Amino acid sequence: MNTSSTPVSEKPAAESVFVTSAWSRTVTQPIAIAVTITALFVGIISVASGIAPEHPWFSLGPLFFVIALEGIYTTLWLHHPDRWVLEQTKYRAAEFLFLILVLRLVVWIITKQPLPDLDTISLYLGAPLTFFADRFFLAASFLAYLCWAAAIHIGSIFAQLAISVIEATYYAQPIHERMVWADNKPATLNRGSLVQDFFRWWLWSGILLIICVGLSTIELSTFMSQLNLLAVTHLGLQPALLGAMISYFLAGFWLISQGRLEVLNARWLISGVHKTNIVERRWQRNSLFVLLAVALVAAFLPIGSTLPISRLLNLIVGFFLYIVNLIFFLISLLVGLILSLLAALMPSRKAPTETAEPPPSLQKFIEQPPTPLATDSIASLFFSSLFWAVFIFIAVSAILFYIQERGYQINGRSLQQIWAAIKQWLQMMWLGVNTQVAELRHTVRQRRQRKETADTSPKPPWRFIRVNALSPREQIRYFYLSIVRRASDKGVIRHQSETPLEYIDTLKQNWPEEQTELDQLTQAFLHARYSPQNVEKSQAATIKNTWKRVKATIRKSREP
Amino acid sequence: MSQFTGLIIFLIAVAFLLRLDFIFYIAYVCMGVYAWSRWYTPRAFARLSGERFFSNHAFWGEVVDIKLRVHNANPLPLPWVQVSESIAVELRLNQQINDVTSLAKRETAEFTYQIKAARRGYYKIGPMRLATSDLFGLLPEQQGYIPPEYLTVYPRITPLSQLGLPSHLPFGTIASNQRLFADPARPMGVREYRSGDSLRQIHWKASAHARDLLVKTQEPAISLETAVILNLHLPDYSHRDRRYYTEWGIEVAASLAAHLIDQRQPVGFMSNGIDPLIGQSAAAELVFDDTSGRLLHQHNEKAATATRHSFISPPIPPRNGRTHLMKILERLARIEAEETVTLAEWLPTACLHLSWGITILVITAHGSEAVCHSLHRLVRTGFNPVLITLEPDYNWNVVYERARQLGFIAYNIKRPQDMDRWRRPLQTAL
Repeated sequence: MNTSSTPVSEKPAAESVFVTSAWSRTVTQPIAIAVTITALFVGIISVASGIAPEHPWFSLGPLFFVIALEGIYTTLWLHHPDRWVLEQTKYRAAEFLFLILVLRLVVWIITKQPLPDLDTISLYLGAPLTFFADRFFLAASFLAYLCWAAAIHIGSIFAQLAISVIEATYYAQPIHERMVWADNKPATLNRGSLVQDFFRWWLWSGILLIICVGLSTIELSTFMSQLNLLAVTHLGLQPALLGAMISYFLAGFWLISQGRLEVLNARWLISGVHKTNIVERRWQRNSLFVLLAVALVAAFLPIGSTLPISRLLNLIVGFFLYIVNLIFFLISLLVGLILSLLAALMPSRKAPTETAEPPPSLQKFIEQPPTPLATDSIASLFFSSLFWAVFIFIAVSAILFYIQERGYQINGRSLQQIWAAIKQWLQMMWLGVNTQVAELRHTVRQRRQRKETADTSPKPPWRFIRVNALSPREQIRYFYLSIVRRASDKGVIRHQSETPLEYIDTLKQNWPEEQTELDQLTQAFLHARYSPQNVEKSQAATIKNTWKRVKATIRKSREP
Repeated sequence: MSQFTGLIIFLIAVAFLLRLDFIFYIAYVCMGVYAWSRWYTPRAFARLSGERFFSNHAFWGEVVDIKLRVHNANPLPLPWVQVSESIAVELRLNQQINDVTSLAKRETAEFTYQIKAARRGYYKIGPMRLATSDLFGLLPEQQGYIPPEYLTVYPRITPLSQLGLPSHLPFGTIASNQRLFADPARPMGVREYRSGDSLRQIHWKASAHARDLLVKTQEPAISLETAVILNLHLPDYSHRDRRYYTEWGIEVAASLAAHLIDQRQPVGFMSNGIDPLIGQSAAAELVFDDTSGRLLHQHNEKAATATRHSFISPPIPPRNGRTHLMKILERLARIEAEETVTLAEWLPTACLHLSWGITILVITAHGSEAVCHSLHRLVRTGFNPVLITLEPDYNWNVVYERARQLGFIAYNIKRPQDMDRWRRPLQTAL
């Protein structure tokens, strides 16, 4: 039996025990939050992928992870008291603009668009909105915004949940001494409701994820065309979605456990409870252990659809859907009948005697080119230039603001340093490329010399092949290649690009009396060469006879 | 909570409808976490045990170590356990136990704290509150209590050397100068024969040797079989200093009893005060003061309607020995002054069962005429009463003289220094 004794005099300092550890606050929690949010958005983009499969939606997953992580870290950074004077709305706007620019670049890369040529650039310059008018980019921007907003929301919850040094120091004072520190009294926070907020968000997002996963497994085209629940075609679940669901639920549970720990920590701190370091350590260990153990045990449980109750429920659900479909059918039938009855009862209108003048063709208007005005083009150029100037100014200012507030100074000197670093990197790259090219050139030269030497050198000595020692497959290949060689010797050369089936025509033309044998030999060769099935000995023996006959015929023939 | 159950139901419904086996897995994970929280935690908490180790009797001024032991008998760990020991503010010597710890499988945690026995009384130690919950907040906090235990703090005892009280009982163990009570078991020497000496007292061997009649002399001795009677009828004390003088009376009584027991004399104790423990059938009925932690007498309707005599502590008959002293001290630790019955009314009944000649130390607030007459009646009955008054009395000489005339001794012990007379040698005291 282990015994741990905690004498009153040996209590650790309250400040160090209750303050949320830097590792947890800045590493594990942000990563877990980012994983949860990314998993949710993987579910959403799986649906988007089903709707518009031509776009590389799943390539956005890593970017969403980075956006979520960035949002959380910026939230933590802004939560520090030193940054309370900063204009947070402006900073957030700059941050989002920066993320959108990065997203534009990433979308460009993942959609494998070519570098814009002069025409495209002039189009962008003339009509700036075309630069952004990419449906995939717009959809990705919207999702990125949602992802970023979710990261800020959850990051803010956990930043508030964490116990700060100021809070711990204040509550570590005896109650009668807290009066002296009254000015530094931390704001009262209802951490329980914060955890509840996260819990609710996680639950509803989990439901959304499940719905998205469910939708991603339905073939939407059949569903939209038939509108029959029973006739829905189910697709398999994608591995990315499996990973997303597991990650979402496990990381979410772990975050709930972290939130719970923070709530308890705050309660213990305020009520003057002495806490030992071991509680925090074991909490992390136990929560991980419970989650992994439950996940492992769940993996060994029988899958729901194999359970008898599942079959029964399936039957019930099927019956229910059948009834719904039947009712729907009957109602639509009834409505149709009523409508047709009404149509029959209504007096029929006389057909117009005069043929109406056909409406003006739309094509006519389209084909009419707008009268070009010189002033329009100048105005368009002016506005587009103005737009780009303002956009570039805002983008550069936002990036500078975003980066400089984080402590990275950008001035002439730092730019020179960056330029020098880039130059050095390019030089190194150039040097490396030059070296590799030289090596490649040397290798190619050596190979060419070796080939030339091989061509001029005498043919390798004749090698005896014992045909019976070969496997049936090898024997057949040998028979065919032997015929090809003998035919080549007689002047019927097989070109490198010729397939056996093409070459057989040439052979048949030269030796028409052996057409059947040549066919047999070629088919046998193709079978031996490309078929995974076994080649029997008897088959090889048959082909051997064919080969002998063809060989004899070729030998007898004269050179053409 | 209901939202989480809703999620599980939703997961299962989606899994059934869409025939997605993997969602069953997610549902299993959610159910597993839920079941773990709802099923394991209460069971693990039920197997959590707590014990308290301490000496349940303490002398005044003593520091008592209290050790709490919490044991997790589960084969799996408990992520957190909060241990809170409820201790009255006045008893605390250092910070109270309000700790949170984590217990591994079959681990025991120990917490130690100290209390100071600064005032006599019957104190409640505890209860110890144990609380725990799950890791995910899916279960309300589980709480349990280890029942309280009780500490008796004896009243302060002033060590005495000689009381010098007179006794009517011969053949005791205390040497006396009252010749009447010569103890044949204590030969002191011989003297010349005088007319009227009993022939049985002649020391024949010594007489033969000295060729003259010599008589044996014995050391005189008395037995101080004593009953200490403490008046705790509240109205008998002056209103302003009631609390101080009733406590002082208890200290005097305890000091006298302890000294007499040290002298191997039988001592009994009687008081018209209230023992709050009497009449309380269950521990749950006991009421303790939140600040001091002491046992309080309940002023309920039951107490008001019942006769006051029923709440008076029963008499402890004279016995000797340390165990008997502890019994008297325990009573003195708990006893409280209350409006019960006046000393003059109560004394004759209290002394009914005492044996003849016993010394009765009557400790009361002051020596009023009624009290003196009561003591006089005891003298006439054959007892040996001694009056000890506690409150300062400007007419003490009158009281003293009245007592002397009525045949008993009176002392005014109003402060600790007045007990010095009982620390002096016997000869000077008398």
